[in-house]
Amino acid sequence: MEAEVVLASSPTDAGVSCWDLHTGAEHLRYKSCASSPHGLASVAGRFLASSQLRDRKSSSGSILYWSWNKPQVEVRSFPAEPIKALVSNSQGTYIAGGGVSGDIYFWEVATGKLLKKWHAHYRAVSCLVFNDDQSLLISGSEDGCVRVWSLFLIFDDARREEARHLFEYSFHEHSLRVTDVKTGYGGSNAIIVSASEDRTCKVWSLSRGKLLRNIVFPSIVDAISLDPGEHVFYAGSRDGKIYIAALNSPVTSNSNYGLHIIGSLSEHSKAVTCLASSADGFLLVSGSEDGMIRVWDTRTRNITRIFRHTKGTAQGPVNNVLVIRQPQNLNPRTSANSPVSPLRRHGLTLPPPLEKFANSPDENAHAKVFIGPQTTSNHLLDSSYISVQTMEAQIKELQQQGSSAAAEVDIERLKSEQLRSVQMIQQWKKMYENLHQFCVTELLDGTHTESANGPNL
Amino acid sequence: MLTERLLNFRVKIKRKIGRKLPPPKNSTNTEIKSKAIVLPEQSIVSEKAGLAVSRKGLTLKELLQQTNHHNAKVRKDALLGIKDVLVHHSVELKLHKLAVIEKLRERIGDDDKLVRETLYQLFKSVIFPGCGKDNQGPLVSLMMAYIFNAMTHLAIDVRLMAFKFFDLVVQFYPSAFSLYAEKILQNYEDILRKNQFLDDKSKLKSTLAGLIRCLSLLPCNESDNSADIPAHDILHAFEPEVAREPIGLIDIIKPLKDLLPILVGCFQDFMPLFHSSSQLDLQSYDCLQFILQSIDLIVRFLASGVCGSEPDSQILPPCQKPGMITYDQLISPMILKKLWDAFPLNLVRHLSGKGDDRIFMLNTVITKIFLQLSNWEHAPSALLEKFLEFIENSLATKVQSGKMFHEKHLLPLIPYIPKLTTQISGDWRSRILKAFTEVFKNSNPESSMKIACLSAVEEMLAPIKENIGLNFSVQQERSPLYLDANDLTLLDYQIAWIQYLPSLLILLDDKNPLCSKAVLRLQLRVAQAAPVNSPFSQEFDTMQYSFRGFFSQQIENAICYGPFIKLAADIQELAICCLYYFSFMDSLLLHSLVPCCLCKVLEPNMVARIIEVLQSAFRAGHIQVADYTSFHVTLLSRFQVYPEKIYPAVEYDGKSNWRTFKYVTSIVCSCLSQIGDDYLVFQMAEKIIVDHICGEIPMDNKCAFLRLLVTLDSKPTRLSDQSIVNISHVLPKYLIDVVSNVGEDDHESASVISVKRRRYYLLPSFYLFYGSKRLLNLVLNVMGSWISEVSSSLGSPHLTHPSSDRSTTSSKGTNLSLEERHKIQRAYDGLRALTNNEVVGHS
Repeated sequence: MEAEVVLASSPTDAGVSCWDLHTGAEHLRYKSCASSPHGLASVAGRFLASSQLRDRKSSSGSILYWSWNKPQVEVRSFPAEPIKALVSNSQGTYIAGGGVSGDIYFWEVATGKLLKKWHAHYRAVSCLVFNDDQSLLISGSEDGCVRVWSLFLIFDDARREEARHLFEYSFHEHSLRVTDVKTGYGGSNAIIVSASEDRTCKVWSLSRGKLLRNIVFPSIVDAISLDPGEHVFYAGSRDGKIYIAALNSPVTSNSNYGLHIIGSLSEHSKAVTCLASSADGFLLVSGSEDGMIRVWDTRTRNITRIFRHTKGTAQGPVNNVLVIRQPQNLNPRTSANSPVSPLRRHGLTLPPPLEKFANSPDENAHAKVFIGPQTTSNHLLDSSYISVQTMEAQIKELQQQGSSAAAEVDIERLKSEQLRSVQMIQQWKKMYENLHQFCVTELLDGTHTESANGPNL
Repeated sequence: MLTERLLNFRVKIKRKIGRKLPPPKNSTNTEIKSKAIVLPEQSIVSEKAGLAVSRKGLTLKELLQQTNHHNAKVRKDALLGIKDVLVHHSVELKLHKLAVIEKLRERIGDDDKLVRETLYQLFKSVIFPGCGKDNQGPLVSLMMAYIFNAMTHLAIDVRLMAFKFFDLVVQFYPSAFSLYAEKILQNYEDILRKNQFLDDKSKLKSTLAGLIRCLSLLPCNESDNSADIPAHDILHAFEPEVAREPIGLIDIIKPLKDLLPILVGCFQDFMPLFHSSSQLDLQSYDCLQFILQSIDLIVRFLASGVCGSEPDSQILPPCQKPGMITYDQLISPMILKKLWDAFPLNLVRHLSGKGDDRIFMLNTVITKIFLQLSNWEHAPSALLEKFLEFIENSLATKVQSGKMFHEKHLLPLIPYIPKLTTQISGDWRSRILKAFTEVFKNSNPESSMKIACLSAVEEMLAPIKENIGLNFSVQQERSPLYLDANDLTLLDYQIAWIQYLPSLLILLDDKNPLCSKAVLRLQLRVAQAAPVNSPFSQEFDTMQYSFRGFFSQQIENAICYGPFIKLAADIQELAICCLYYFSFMDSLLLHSLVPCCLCKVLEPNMVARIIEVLQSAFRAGHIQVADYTSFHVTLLSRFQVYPEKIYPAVEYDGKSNWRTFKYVTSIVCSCLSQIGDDYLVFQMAEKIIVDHICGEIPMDNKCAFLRLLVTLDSKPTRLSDQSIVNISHVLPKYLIDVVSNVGEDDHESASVISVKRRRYYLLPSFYLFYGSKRLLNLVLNVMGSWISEVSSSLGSPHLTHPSSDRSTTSSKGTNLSLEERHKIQRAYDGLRALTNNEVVGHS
């Protein structure tokens, strides 16, 4: 099983704590983080980003980056307004943030450029999520609206001009603030589940754009987590219970809680504020108002582990939990003192801060240095530090030299192929011989026995 | 009876003088007379015994054969016989459905009128109702072949009858139309083109009625947005395969287009009537009405553009769907021009009011046709003005007369008002808006007009569907929001509408829940879509002052409940959701909410919901801390608990609302503890809570406050010295009350419950003792003094007369019976044991 880590943060300034999900070992604690709900994101496992709660007075927001091996904040960005929800796509190329005014900001991580900003909601954006193929962005807002944005449309100027609205879908059925949105698998045919303060969770179809199911809970649901098989989803509610709602079974009427709700996980805690599940779906991690992070086994419905987010007696509520694959360069606290190779330390440079304003589109695209996204963590950033000019020169070179070099490669390939075919022919021949031999003997034996049996008939 | 008949049969005796003598009286009559001898058992078809027969003894098979008889009367009788058989033996129909129809359909084109009529009645009353809905395909196709034949028959009557037959088929099997639409429409076109109807309007009327039925089956945009949630099927299951795709919509565009000028022609044929006669007779009025309705339906279909969408467009994501291409090109303006020329219809010679109403109805239909076209803004301004004037006038007369009649016919025009207001400008716009506003405000709150107006208002206030997202930060300044302060004319009206909503709610009371729901939904939409700091959000915030009356009002110390508590739960839910969106919630609004929460009628669940929403609003910074806490404290202090003893089996089916209060208490406790920093919250709330505990309130409420205090307090108590002293004065009495009142039920079975319940009451005070040693000491001292007092005075005879200078608590103590004293002793012992344990635990 792949090692997974649990990350947790809180609205009080208690940092981001980090544990191994399966062993329970605590890792480094990242300092000075007061995250907003849905405001903690791991950018493709490369580093950690979080939007910060700020005073009501301050006009600008704040987003902080931490690299895995240092507890201090490394990069600080200050967007134009406080950002509430923050999410990154799975490759870590983009970060999307939802502001208090209802705008959505869309940044490129590598350069920090603000690619787009659009007015998405009437009120603050409360949660953001990408669908599994990363082409749709789904946002929930305090005005009770869930909207689905296609990134293709947002970046296609021509089509945007003629479209009557920017969103793909706009779902208005929630009457109060949307607290969480999750998507299932299946690209643009997936289902999404949204939870709201109106005590309901609603299941929508992305392909048909309509409400599939409405589930009323006994209390406000603040967090949801989808089972990987999409048989059930878990809803963490304000009464401290985690309800299990069926997605793919016929209606069960014998439930105590209501239609579609088939059970609950509870440990008499305070309100559950956030949920996350491990990749295999067997472990469910819940963060609660009482500052505890509980790990549940969904098969037995028992608690397997409890982490405590805050130190000492102070009880800060937890408002974000994440479960991610263990980053390669994450050092457990025990080995924090062990010498780190200078190469590694050097390698971990984080991308530049996110920009506050969008540049005018006619700005020279070549002005920025591009840092190629790394596919493997072993292959560190410093090796791929190439300027655009160099890359273009290389491309040109390749294009010119391409003919002879490519021909050589081709010949090599053909030669080896021929060799292989010859071998194949030999093999076939041999097989044929064997088969022939076998048939002949069989035939001879057959006639033999037939002649022997003949007189009897 | 018998003798009577015999009398009738008596032979008349002819007497001719001189010819013959009358037969002698005693002679015997040897003649045998008989009309017919019926011997059923000797009939040739004696095997009919088990079969279904008609009244005349004929089987279905024979009757079917007779329908081909050359004599019309026999045919008719056969049909009647079939009816007879099928009515009495419904099994026959099920078994021989297709065979029967196959034979009978030949009579659709029968030359004899009576036969056709009889056949029609037979189909209408027996066969179609009996056939059911399954397997209609062969049935319809059997019928249609002959119906089409009859439609092209030479005799006009046969053709008309064929249309009636088709109408019948469509009535029972609506899908028949979409299958044969093209051909049918062509046939209608043919029959309407020949101008043979002016003499017989009833025939025209019946033909048109059939046409309208067909046309109303045409798909149109508005009908398919039904928001049904399939709650009961499995989410990821395959969808049931239903052939719902209407076939060949493209093919019927042409016949529809051809039909249009002919209908207009028919309409024109009636025009001379308006100039000549002084009275529009009912027949021609109905014909006109039907003609216009048909035109309306065709225009609606062609203008909606349903016909133009390619079948494969559903696969594309919605953004790539071809935008609404206007299909008005299909309708050439010249066709309808004659209609516009005739508008407004007026009788040359003016006459009675009844005729006026009819003309008015026709005019509204023409207006509706006009408004359905999407390119009418390109129409000549004179024409446009003609229509606008009519709309304004009719809206205005509606207000004056207030008749149900006008209301009913204006209704179809209302949905077009929003579109109208966005596309016209200047003077007319405000005039229309003004007239509309008048109608909206003055229409009867329980009428369907109100609901239509509400949906129009919703559309004009917040057309959320299309406006958001377009205002990119970089490229455009214009905001397509309708909640847009730039449009001043509209703004005034919009604000007027918003202001009107709360009073409408109160006006509606609980008489029309549907309308109340629509109003609240609209209100919620406004709240959600109002941009911060815009006139709308301000307007919405001021709305709360009138919104109060919806919940409750205090009129001269008496609480007057608003409609809120009487409405259904889903409407209440909507109303509560509106509360969240007030950017600042006034304390008076909270005051008006409290009586609702305390009201016995309100579901405990709804009380919890109110508190929950208020908590959300508080978190969002819409309520001040002081107001918020005082709301909760008032809730706890004013809640009236009815114990079982006092109202047995009256309230809540024998259950007291004690459980509700327990529930409310726990919610309030958790809400207040989540306000913020524990220490500050405690400091703020301490005084109020302690004051309430020391005040004169019932035991249950006292318990609630104690629980609240314990929830907010921490282990080494944060209570001030003064508070501890105050509490210590009241706590002993409270404890005694608990011990003496709770669990006094004599039933043994209830003992477990009562022990639990007693624990519920005692627990908070024990927690307090646990937190503060000093409080425990003080309380024990008071109790100890009582006991010593009582025991010392036991011997003295004048114990029962308490001296006047004693404190109330001790006087209470002296009044205790022996049993109660025992209880005090027990409680005291209990406390002792508890403290001892604690001491042991600590040491």
